[in-house]
Amino acid sequence: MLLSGLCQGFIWAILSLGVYISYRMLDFADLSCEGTITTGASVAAMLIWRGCNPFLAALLAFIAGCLAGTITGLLHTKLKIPPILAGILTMISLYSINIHIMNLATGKEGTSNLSLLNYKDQTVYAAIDRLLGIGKTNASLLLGLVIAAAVIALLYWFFGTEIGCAIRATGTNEKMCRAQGINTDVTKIIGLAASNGFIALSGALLSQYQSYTDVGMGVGSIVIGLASIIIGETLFARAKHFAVRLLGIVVGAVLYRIVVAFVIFSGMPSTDLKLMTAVVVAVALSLPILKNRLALNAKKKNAKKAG
Amino acid sequence: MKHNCKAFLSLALAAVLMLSGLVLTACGGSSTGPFPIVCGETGMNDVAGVATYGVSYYNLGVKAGDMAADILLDGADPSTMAVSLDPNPALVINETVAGEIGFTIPESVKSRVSGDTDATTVTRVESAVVADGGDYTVGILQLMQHVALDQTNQGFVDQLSVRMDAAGKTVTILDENAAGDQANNITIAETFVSKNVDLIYAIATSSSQAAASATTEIPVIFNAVTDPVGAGLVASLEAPGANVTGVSDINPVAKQIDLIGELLGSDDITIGLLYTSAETNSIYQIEQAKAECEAKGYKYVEKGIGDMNDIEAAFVSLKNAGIDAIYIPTDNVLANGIANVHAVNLGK
Repeated sequence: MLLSGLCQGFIWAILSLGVYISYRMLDFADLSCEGTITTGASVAAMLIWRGCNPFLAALLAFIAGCLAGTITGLLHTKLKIPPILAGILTMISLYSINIHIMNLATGKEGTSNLSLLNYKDQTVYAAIDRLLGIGKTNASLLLGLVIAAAVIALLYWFFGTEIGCAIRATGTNEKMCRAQGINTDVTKIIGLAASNGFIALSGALLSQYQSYTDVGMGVGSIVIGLASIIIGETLFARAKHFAVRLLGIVVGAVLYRIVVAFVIFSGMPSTDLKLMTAVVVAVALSLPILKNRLALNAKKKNAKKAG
Repeated sequence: MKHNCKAFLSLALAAVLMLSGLVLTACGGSSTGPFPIVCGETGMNDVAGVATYGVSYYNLGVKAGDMAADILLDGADPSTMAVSLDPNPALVINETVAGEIGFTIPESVKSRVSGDTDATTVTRVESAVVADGGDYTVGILQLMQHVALDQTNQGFVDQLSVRMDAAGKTVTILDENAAGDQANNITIAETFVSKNVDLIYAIATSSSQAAASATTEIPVIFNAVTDPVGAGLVASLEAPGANVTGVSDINPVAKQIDLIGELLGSDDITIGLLYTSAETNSIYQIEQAKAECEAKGYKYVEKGIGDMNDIEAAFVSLKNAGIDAIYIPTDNVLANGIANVHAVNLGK
């Protein structure tokens, strides 16, 4: 159960890091996520059907995600469509586009579900297992860990470069940024492209992990991403270092999946799954505040005693 | 005077347009509605259809319960257990809709309707289902709360309990629902594997794929999957080839197409095939419908729609193609908009 939560947690961590770029760095509530995760999954699954190397397929899925993010960026910056609506437009159009992508694999119209069950040997996990001979679970753990670490390193480096700093500045104070001569349209588009690229990459890994892509698999993904971010931020509230904050999001995503796995494992009535997940997350999030309250009460008592 | 003149001209123009419209309609080989519609499932038939063969999801659940019992109690091998269909789809007619559209259902069809459409009901043996520590443990993974899916779940447990009771055994059911969130599919499937259940019962396509992905050893029985081969779950319907087999909820398309011929009492007919072009399941059924039409020598016209906004235009083009009846497969978009389909068919 813990292992299952960990394996999936790393995959969702990549999505959460992607959401973090748009939601925190750019201060842009981007709903494209629910479409791009499926786009990544569709592209990867379609390419694997077509005999492509699974690692290359994941990379191309990343690029497809970047393109989708660029569309959201263009809708927002060039056509002045508000962020939420721009994201929704991309998300709903991707529904049709994802079906078209999956059509390329089967050659049939209207493929809404692409199975990888017959291509189990052609996934990244199988490739790593073949290379190191460590079994599928360990392979997915290892790959998740490596990719999450690589993404953190990449983001840490990127947001330290000039353009990366400009993107962070855009999210913090757009007007000031423009005054400094930064083209905020460009920074927003780059930020959204990167964000959706990582979301698509996580979709590509997810489809290979669960052996299928379904046009409806993105539903609820933005909630998982945001919950992971908030859990990570709450737990690492004192972290000043950027890399540690990014690490916090990975921890948040892993914890969220473990919570879900735990709720399922505990065998409560199936209708209560969502409620229980929400309750456990809410309790986890309120812990720091409860801790502060208790500390404050203790201080007051001590003060009274002293007085 | 000038005004009168204008009014007269516009009236005359309107009359000419209407006349030419009538003439065009008359010579285009077109037909006028409303048309008798045969739908893929009984829920849709209740609203807009004249007759159909209905799949009972409860029956499908019972069938799956039998397969699970064969595996658990008799040691049957899932790799050689053929995928099942509803063994006996029930003929249902809808005289209300037939009356509204002015269609007479022939006596030959009417006489074949049995009074009780859902004849099979199994009484659950509560004592055979224990909360904890049964002889067998079965994990149920259901995609979402949904009337049809709930029925396959219920039928499965009912029948399994009866078989367990007959063998003097007990079963513990771990009932999990992904609540429509596909991220939970694989989590639930892996939880069942880590709990080392004796069998996984997966309901709906993506849940079945997640279960098949999570284990190659524990037997998996799927249900409510329309195209198990296309979904990668089984090698073929006759010989699944691995630890996964189950029940397909495909409606008896061929029987439904034959029914249209029976209803119209002729072989020289044109059937309009109306479906949503983005749904894999619909296209799968339409392919079967076309094959059956060809086998029977019926002509057909395909009309795929994008969403319910296209429905009026679709009817116009079907009318112009001169169809005699419409077939609608089990299709999510059209099932949701079935009342609208009926209204358009009546010309409202």
